[in-house]
Amino acid sequence: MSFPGHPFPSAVPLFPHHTQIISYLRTYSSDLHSAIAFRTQVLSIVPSDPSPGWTLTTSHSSTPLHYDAVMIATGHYNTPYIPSLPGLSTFPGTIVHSRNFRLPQEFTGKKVLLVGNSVSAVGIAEQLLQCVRGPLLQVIRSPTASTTPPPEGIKVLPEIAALHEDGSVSFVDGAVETGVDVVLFATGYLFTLPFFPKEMGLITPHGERVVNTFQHVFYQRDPTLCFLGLPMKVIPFPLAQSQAAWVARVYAGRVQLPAREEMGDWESKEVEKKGSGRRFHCYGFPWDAEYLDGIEAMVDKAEGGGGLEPARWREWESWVRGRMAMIRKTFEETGKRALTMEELGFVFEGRVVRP
Amino acid sequence: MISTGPLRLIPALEAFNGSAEVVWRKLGGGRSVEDICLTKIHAQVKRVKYMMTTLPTIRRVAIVGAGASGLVAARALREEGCFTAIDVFEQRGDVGGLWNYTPQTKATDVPSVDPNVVEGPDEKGTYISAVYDNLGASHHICLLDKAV
Repeated sequence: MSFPGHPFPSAVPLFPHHTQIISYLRTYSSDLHSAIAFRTQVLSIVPSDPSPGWTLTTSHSSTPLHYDAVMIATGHYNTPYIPSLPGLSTFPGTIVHSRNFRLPQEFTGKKVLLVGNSVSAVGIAEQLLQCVRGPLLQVIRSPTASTTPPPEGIKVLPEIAALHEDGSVSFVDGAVETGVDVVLFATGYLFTLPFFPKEMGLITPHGERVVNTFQHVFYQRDPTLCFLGLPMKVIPFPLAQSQAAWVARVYAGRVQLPAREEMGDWESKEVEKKGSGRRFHCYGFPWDAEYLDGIEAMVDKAEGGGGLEPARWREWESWVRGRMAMIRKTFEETGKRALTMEELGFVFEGRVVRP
Repeated sequence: MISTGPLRLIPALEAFNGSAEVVWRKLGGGRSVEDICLTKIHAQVKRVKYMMTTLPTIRRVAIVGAGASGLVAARALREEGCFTAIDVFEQRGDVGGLWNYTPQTKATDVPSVDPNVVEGPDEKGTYISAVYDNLGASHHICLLDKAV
């Protein structure tokens, strides 16, 4: 979904191509350029001495810069995660991460083993099916609705046990695939915050998540530091808008944060539910809708009016969100041209409530 | 920041609500001193439990990254109208973060498990994006609020 209040042009298909998304973001930000220092890398962020505040050094400033608050919006699809597996370094075939996948034609006639079953794995698998030699081999650790049963042309395998110098790959169930040309890891990314002192311990040692946040946003120990866009399996633009609307009100002094103990309790409860690993920031429907409701409620406690509106998901949005995978499938099967859900046969009757 | 001794906070509560006499009357003066103290303690425990985190005054804010999240952050701060500096730092030459498609790629270290090892730009200063040629918005990315 677009940023609330900033629709895409009406001629853009229901699920826009990436070129249309970057155009949209350029249009969206046309009045914000004066605030942006381009080609400027933040090199370090440390707590100011004396406190409070933060001291930044950048690639373009000779003197450190002081700020009362810092918002981190650096994303988490930058640093590929490729697991350490026995034999990985001596495997003669090509090892590639989905970050570096561009076109399926690069894999024409190759025997390809795809590892992973996330959004990018599913998207890449569809394309590879047309090009690879034989069936596409895919390691699927936890099957999902879209892979049960697996699409035609995919041979599902369990986790890799080891890669071998003769070009074969063995699996935990004892199966062996010989002559594997390419192992393509669609195994996700690491959370990285390289500009903070390592001693702050902001991420887990293996980069699975950011720690000590409240609601994935405020740093509990000093909420003048915050993070945007950490949650995954969400609709990112409206989610980021809700988070930003909340942070802006807190930093303006119009919304208060609970006591630190209470913020800590939130994280403990989340860890109980989801563990402290890579699932910590993951939502999916309907939990992402509940998360947005929670942010909306906090935003609406603001003293005084005005400010950027948060996303306000009601029956229509939840109805669409709950059907998004089905709508997208129909969109793709009908040539990726549809401009509305209605022409794909998805008509909201106004009676459906969130499950 | 927060005292764990509610008894010591009673004077603060009284200052907050006015004089001790007002508190006395509010609590229905006439009850025993012990009762009143107990009620005050309960009130204070409740206050401590729901006490808010106080932040220093914030006027200068830095935003790291001009992708979707950084852009909407700048807009949200601007709408508040009370910040004297809203500075966005972006390593690329354009907005949009990961949506900046790059035809070129860069080999990733194998394995890649250390969050302290972060890839820099290529020799031309380009930061490699995860966007592939045929990528359209997935169901996790974008369903439109269409202009009407």
